[in-house]
Amino acid sequence: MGRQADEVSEAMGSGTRGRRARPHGVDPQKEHGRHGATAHAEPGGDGSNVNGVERLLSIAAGGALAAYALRRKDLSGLALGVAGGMLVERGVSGHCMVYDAMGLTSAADDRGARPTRLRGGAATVDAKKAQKIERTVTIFGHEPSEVYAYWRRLENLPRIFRHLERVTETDARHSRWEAKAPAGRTVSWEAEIINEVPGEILAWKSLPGSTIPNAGAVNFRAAPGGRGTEVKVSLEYEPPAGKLGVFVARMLGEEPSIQVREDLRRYKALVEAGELPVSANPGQGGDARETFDARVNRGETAAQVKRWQAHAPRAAHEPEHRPAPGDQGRVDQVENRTASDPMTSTESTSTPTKVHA
Amino acid sequence: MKAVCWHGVEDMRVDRVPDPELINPRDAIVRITSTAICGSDLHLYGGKVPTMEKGDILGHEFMGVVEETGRGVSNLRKGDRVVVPFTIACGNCYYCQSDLWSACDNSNPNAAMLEELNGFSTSGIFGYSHMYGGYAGGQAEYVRVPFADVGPLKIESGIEDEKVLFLTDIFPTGYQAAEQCGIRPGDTVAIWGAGPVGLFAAMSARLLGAERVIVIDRFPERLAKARELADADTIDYETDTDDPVEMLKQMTGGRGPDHVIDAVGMEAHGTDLYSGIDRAKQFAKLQLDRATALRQCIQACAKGGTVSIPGVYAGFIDKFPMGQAFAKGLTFKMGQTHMHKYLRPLLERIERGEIDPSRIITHRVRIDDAPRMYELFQQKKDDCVKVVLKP
Repeated sequence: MGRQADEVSEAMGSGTRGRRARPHGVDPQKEHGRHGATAHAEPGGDGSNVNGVERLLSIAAGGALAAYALRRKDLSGLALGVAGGMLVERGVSGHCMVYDAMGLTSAADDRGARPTRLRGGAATVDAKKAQKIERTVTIFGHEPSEVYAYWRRLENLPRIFRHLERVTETDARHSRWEAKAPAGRTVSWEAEIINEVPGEILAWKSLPGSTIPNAGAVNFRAAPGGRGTEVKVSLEYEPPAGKLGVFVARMLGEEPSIQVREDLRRYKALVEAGELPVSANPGQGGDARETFDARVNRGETAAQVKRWQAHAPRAAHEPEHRPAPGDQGRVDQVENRTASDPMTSTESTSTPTKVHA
Repeated sequence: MKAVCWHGVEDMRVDRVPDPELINPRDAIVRITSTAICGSDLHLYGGKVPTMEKGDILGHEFMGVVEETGRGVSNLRKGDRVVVPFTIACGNCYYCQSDLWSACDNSNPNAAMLEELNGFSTSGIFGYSHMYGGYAGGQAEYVRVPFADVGPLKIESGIEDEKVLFLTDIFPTGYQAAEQCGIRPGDTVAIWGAGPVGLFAAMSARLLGAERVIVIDRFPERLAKARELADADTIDYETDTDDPVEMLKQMTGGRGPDHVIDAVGMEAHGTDLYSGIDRAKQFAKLQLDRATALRQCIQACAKGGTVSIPGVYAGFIDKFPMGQAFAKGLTFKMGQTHMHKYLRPLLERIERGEIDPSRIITHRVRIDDAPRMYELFQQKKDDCVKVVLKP
């Protein structure tokens, strides 16, 4: 499964030995490209994502469609011809654009069982089924030790990752996690910290028997020239309903990699600017102040947000707000969350941090 | 309140909308006293910028009086007279702290949209589509100003609105364009586009010591403004020549202008073959930008010179004369203006009487006439150069 699995396992399984196993601040573009390659193209090794039987069927069906299309001399004939051609192309190349768009592949089936597993003590997640998420963000104005200290207090994590409902530390190494799952469900699991180097690495994995086996690592590193702290989050999990589950989640707008990206962006804004940008348009949103981000900025406690959530009629608050990619200011995303100062406190009604005077 | 709202391509309306309210601790509400239509609003008007929605309030050049402040704003109080920069910046991130305000990391709530397009997100902008944040603009009676503790500049003197209004965008934008040329004594600066930004670039080039300023356009009244305001030489590329690049070369002893400024951007007109191809591609949505002005800039610029680009571009460009740029060793400078950095120094220049920005104004109307003014400005009818709206 390539370097991503290695990274997580390095961070998670190998104690201090694995630190700095690879350069941390890799070009995000490349990083992204590699992630894409892992997710979509790699299974066939040659960019293919369709398995052998399916490829033969594709060629046959595409050929028949094209032949039929050639006999019709109208516009729909043209469309059928194009579709037929695409099927043939898909069969010959083994690469399906539709699968690509959906993030699916059937190519791995070809090679039978080729279980690539995480090594060492971290083989919690079956790498063959795993979904991987990796994202890096730079937090300006804070040292790695400060940022680490915040993350190490696992109770804080739900304030960064909005799909986490709650994390409870049961002892120095063990914790209980509760998260929102697609379609309004909640899942929970027990996790164990398997590697920690203060100010540098924090890694955990779920314990056997979890509904969603998962593992994660966060690396902290001083950015050069006083540019702050680079925080790299690597997560792996086995989606409950396999690839189909991932696809459905994506269609429902709950694509985890996008959630992580946006969560880290919000975390950065809260730490750096002291508030989340909100741009409700008075012509469109009746009550702009009641968006989730606005409430976070006001430093409301979990209980307050929850009470409000229970009583707020959704339609009344966000009549015409169009969900944009990354738009988090939506009422339906309000969660059980405390707000305000993301660097220092867990429970608070305090004023957001503000670096700038 | 009344606001100028976008309803579709070339469809602006003055609507009644709810008044803005304080949302974030660092917000202020400003009652608008003067606002203007910017040339870049015409990109929105013409439907050239994606992620616009019906009902979006336009306007990013505005000033007024503070009505209300959030608890995080301690430097402003009710009654303060302020000009508000068109880019929104948090003031705290690495880019703000490095004086690269328009690259702010934290002011765009829809950063993901811009990231999709450009790979990175930059600052939010008032009234300039949802990918730039979806903020309501200032062609209205009131506006909500986020991060009001770092953006607005207080105007303490009694100087009239019209003289300081253009600190909100076009004066700093033209000034940055000229400043980043690194003008030295004896330099000639050629400027494509005699619209408001081009005119301010011409005036700024003079302020910064350019020996000679040459302005290229096709509207006689605009070229007349350039002669009047910046003592510029002018080229009308429709009547004076069919080859402005060659003409510039001949006007500068065969050296070419030392620096060139593209104050036109993505909707350039032109008379050559490539501009026709660009137009067809843009019409077919194959290309967002028409790059005639930029190509000519590169072709005309003297060896070792600077190509400074305040004009807005949004996508990919074909037939880009990279070989010429390389051969001559050109420097490229571009981007949205780092507004916050220029507000105070340029206010001081205005107050010292070194420049009178109000001289570019050609039309002053009530806000209710805004839709008609958009049309007038777009078609450059009635010698329209700059429209100021009064709520």
